[in-house]
Amino acid sequence: MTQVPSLKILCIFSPVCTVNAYRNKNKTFFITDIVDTMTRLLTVMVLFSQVFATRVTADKPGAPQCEPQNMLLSNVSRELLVTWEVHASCASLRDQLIYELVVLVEDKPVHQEEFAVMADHIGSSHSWSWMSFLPLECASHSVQIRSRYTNQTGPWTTGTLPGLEPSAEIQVYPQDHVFEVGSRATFCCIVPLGKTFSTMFLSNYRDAPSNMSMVNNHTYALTVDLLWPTLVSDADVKCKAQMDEGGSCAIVGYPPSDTDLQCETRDFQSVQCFWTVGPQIFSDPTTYWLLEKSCNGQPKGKCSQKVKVNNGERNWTLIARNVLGSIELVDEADLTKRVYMYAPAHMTVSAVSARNVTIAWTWTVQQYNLLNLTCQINLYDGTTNIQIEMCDIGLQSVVLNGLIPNWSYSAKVQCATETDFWKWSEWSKSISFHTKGDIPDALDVWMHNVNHQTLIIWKLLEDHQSHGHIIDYEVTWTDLAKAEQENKICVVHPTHSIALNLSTFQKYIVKVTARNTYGSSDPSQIFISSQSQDPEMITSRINGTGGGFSLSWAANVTASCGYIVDWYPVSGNSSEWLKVPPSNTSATIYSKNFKDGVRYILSVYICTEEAPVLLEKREGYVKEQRIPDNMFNNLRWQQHASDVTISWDQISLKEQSAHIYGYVLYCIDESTVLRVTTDDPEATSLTAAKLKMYSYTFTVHALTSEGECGLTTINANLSIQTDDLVSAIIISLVTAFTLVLLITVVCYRSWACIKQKIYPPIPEPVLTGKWLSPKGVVPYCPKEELPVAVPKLHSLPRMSNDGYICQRDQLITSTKIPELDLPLKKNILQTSSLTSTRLNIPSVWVGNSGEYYPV
Amino acid sequence: MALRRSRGMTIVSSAVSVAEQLQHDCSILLELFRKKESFSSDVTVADSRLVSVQLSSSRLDCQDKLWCLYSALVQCRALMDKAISREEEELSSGQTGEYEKQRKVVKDRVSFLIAKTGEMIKSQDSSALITSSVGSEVVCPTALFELKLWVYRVYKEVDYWAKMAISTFQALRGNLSVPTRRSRRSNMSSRGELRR
Repeated sequence: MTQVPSLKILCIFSPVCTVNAYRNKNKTFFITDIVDTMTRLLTVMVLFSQVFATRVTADKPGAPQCEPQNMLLSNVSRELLVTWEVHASCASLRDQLIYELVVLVEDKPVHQEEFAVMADHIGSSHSWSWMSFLPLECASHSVQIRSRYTNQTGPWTTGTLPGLEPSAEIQVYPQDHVFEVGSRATFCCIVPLGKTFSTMFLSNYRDAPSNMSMVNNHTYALTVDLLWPTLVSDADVKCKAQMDEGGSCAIVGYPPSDTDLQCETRDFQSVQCFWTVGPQIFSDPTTYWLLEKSCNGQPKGKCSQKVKVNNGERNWTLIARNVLGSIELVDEADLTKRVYMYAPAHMTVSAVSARNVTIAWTWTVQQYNLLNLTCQINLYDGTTNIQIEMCDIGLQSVVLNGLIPNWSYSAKVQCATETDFWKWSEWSKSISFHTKGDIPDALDVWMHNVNHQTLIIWKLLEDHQSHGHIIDYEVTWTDLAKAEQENKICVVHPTHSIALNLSTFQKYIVKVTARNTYGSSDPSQIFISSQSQDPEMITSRINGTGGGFSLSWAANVTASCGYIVDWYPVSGNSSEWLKVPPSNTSATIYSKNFKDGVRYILSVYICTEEAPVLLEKREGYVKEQRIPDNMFNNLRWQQHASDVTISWDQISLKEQSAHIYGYVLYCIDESTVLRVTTDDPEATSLTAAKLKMYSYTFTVHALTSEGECGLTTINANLSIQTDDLVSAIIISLVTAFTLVLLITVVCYRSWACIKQKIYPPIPEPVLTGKWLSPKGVVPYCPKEELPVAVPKLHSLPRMSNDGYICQRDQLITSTKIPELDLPLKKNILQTSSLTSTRLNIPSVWVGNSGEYYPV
Repeated sequence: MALRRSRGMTIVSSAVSVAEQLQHDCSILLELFRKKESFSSDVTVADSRLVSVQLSSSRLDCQDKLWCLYSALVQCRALMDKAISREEEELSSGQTGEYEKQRKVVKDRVSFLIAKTGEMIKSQDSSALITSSVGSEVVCPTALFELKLWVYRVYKEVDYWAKMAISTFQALRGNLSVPTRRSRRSNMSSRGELRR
């Protein structure tokens, strides 16, 4: 058993026992209150003090008999220790005796105190200690003591502990002391005689409030508030006097502050404790004691000691000590309920079959055989870990069922107490084994119609399904109408399909089995009938999600064995499928063969007792891709007058890496762009109208969800076509001729008016009297001068611009001149004649087919 | 004889390189130590030498100087061993940083230079019996601050002896090159005599 380090400072009969510590080489000493050790150390102290103590002198004799005698002052671990004796006659005193003490540093009083001695302690040696703010080496410390008993005081007795004298080198005190964070420390520098003090400072330390003072002619003090710990290096107090330099190291840290002690047992013969380690003092780590035994050499925060563990709670005590103090951590626990088991040992495997195996182990601690244990068996099959839990008293073996035949496994075990579960043991070493082989699992069979043949396909068995090396497959098919006639063919592995020429009008049953060295699998069968053929079903679009397709469909009551989803690329013959149980009406399909930009046909079949029935059909892309440029084959143009039609060949589905929603045509000349679109994905042409006779670039794009793509360009020079020119000339000529003719006719018919306008008649002179015979001259008779009857309105009138009334095609007015009953042959045409007169009457228009003609 | 001289030249050149590298490494180590302990570059340490070997006497011949140098370097290595162990005990935070690495480099380099110097002694006198032990145990201060100053002195001592090694080896190289010329002249004159 390792002993606790003995204490150093002694406080004999003192009401106060000061805790102190000092550092000497690598050893740290502590004060404890162990009484027997104190007695032993008193002797040491007296001897020690004889070396350093200074004999004192009493101020004046004749005081009461209890005045201090043989007073000694000494420096014990930076404390001022004062010891004195009392005359034996004092032992007769009945009341307590008081000693008054005054401490002087460099003859200046700095502290005073009263020290009471109880009556039963009077008559022996006394001591008193005091921690000076200044290291005792730095200045002389004097103590004055006098006794007081029932208001009678004795004379002062004075003792002095002188400071160190200057030497040839700079001296700095205290040397290598450990301070607690938050404390105030005073360092002194004793300068050699003849040297001038320069400076004193703390280096290797964060900024700290400090104060310099002069103690005497050759001693200077630096007081520092030590607010931070020295973590990776000590701090240095440096003193300079001209060219000389001296110093000391100071270490700042915390007393132990470890927490969270927790103890357990592994073997009922020892205790193992853990705790959270607190901050450590630089270069002076905390030491630990568990059950009063040193934990030296054990890992940080962990300690174990040999002890017999019995039932029942008890205190498990850890003492943490450093130079600044100690703490005690206690964990009250019944360790029989805190068993941290050792891992199972000597793992073995026995009774290995195709699907079962027995794993056994032993315990290194005999007590485990009596415990109610729970064990976890971790079974690793190369890809996944399976954990199985078993319970029993002293559990030492388990049988593992449901293993994959012809398969390699590794197993490991960990255990814990079932009652009062504490924690799992470590895992045992892994043990490996290989199960025996077996017949293959049944195949997953499907069919696919290709080129009027029925392709029977099945999935190759994976390693965990084949249970041995697959040799071949046997395919048998029977026409249900001729059940006795069975056709059989053998397909060598790894071929996994066969094309059969089956009549579309018959029903067949096809069976496929796989064969390995252990035998043939159960047959997998599929019914083939015309129902299985894809009817002309409307295909809807589907968009891929996350690299696959998510499908859902309406439930069907006839789906006795679920649903089958199959898919294949429009450009290929291979088909993949997924069987879905009847309870599911959705599936998410992923395949390593899926490619972006490839259109897939997906079909959902109802799985029935007989042939599968197509339920719905979809097509889509896992992910659409931009259609590459120059997709349009045989792009051509045709001009119709100013219209141009751009045509292309039908785009096959294979070339479509995205759904096409329509097409767009750009007609680009030097300055303008004309855009023509269609929403018809089946369109194979687009027409641009009213183009000018320029040189054009025609660009055709397909409209997809990826944007306009598949760009294909064609250039064309538009020109006036010859036929059109001839037509235009003929039309122009005809138009001109018709116009001339019309003008001629109009002019002819309106000749009278025109003539009237252009060549009005020259009036003859009017002769009155007899010299002018009325018979000799036929008087000119303009129409307006004739009495005219008011025209009769037959239709809507319209005023001519020139105020003339014209007649078209037929005469619709009748004129009667009663007074002058002359025929109007001369001036009025019989038919199609135009009568023109300047009458101040409203013009009248006759409407016919939206045209109005002046009447 | 020429072959032996040539080999000696090679060893000396190699030793000069090692000593120069040691001095370079030592200057880095001193800088790192000053930085680690917040020592200013003008930190004062005792003037007296830690290694008690006198090499500057003009009465010593080359072989004697090599022996002295060898002895001094062995003492330097002992001092470094002690300094490192005391630092580890008293001043280490348990971390291995740049300073600790450089300290090891210097120590290893001193060992290498010792080996080179021993090789040179052997090349001069094949019967020389070389040992690398130090007679007395190295004593160092117990007070931490004094220990730091002492460690610094040790590094300064190594630096000093690296410089001494360079100058000693260079002087030796000069001596080795002279007989080569003499030998050539001697051969030429002997041929001349033969002609006569």
